[in-house]
Amino acid sequence: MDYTVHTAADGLRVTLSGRMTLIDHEKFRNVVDAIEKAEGTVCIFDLTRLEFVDSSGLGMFLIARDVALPKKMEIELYGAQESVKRILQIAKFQTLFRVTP
Amino acid sequence: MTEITAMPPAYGPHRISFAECRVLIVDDSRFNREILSRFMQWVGIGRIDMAADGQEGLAMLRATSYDLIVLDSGMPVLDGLSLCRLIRQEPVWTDLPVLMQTSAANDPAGVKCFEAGASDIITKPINPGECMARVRLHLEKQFFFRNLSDFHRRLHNDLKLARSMQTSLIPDARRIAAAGARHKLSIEGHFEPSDELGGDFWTLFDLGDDRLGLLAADFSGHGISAAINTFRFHTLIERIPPQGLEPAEWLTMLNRPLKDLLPVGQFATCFYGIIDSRLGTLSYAAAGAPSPMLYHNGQVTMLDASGLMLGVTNNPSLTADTVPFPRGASLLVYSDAMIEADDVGGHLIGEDGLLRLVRQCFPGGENRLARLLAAFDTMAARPLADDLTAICISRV
Repeated sequence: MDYTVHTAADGLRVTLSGRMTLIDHEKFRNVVDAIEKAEGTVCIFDLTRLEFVDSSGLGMFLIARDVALPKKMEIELYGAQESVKRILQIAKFQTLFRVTP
Repeated sequence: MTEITAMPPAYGPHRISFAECRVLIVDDSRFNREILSRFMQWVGIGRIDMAADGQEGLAMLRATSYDLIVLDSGMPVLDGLSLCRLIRQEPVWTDLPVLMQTSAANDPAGVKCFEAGASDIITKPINPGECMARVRLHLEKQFFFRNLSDFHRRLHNDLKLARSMQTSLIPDARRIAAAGARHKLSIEGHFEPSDELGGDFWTLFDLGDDRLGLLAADFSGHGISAAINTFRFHTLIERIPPQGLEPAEWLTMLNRPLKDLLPVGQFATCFYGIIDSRLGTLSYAAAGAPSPMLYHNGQVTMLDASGLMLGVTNNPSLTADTVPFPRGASLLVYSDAMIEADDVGGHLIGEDGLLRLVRQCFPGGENRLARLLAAFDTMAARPLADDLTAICISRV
């Protein structure tokens, strides 16, 4: 998995690409740190170039949410491809995150 | 999140004790033997033995185990190069450090010595500092190598034991056959951790009145931490048994303690179904499990098993449903490894790929899962990245 983090006027923009799996935990720690430091009300994860996410990857989104919630920052999962969208759907992530097409 | 802190000592003592090391010096010159012996004393070697030729050296090697041998290349009876070759032919001495003395005139770069299997060379005339440094270096290397091998061996044995413990949580062939006979069902199960241990778990419950419960759970991640969670889950089930509870009711009850137990980011996807042979139904509840497949009369239906995984929030949003499960129908429950595996061409097998396999393998009676797994094996690229569990229950 690769990621970029940008600061926006209302919060953060994170783009993820490649495969998000168990081995990306350490890397994702940096994204979580950025969320921790960020100001604003929304953190948008751009998933358009994310090819695959496994259960560990879902766990990482939950960790991000856990950090964002107390800061009243909402997490949006944007533009997931079909296969990733299906995994988010099975996990009913729309009940925890704002999932947008 | 995994925090990596300082590595604890792997196994055994942390530092080498030269006093406990045994070194054998093989040299035809008495003067050289005494000089070398002095150097070994300065290093602090506890036991120093000496031989005057290769033959004598070999006999001493056979009688005692040494940590390092210092060998002269040219000697009468059996020269050092030949002895070194003999040493390397013995499997027990493959890793024994052999330091060979050589002279620049005979073997300038020590090529002959290295070809004979020497670990290192010391060029004559021998420099005390260099000789001692090389002896220390090779003894230390040997020490750490042995420590690491011991650690590996111990870990391997521990994991083997842990694996058999984990396997014992899963119903064995006898239990599966007995449950099948009691409920007039044909039951097949497959459990295959991707590492020594896995995060998958499944079991059967006899609920009385022709009702059989099937539980399949998959903890996030795999390996040791996920495996420990399966043991915790097993304990939880013993404490909160499913008897008398509807599927969604029971999973909700299991969710609460899991939420307290699991750190953020860890969870379990779960499917729990009750097959009622008298009513001909399958009642189930699910928390983010891969869609089970229901096969009947050549048709495959995918059941909705979506839902927030167990252990994520205090109020899981589960999917619950009751569907017909008539005679001749089969239910396939599987872990995500089956659809998240790549085929040999590098493409995700996916739900569509598995659907095709089921359509192809399920007609034709008994041993459906065995046929499916055989077909999966020819298709999927190995090794799998995740634990593979699959259960197939058919009404006969």
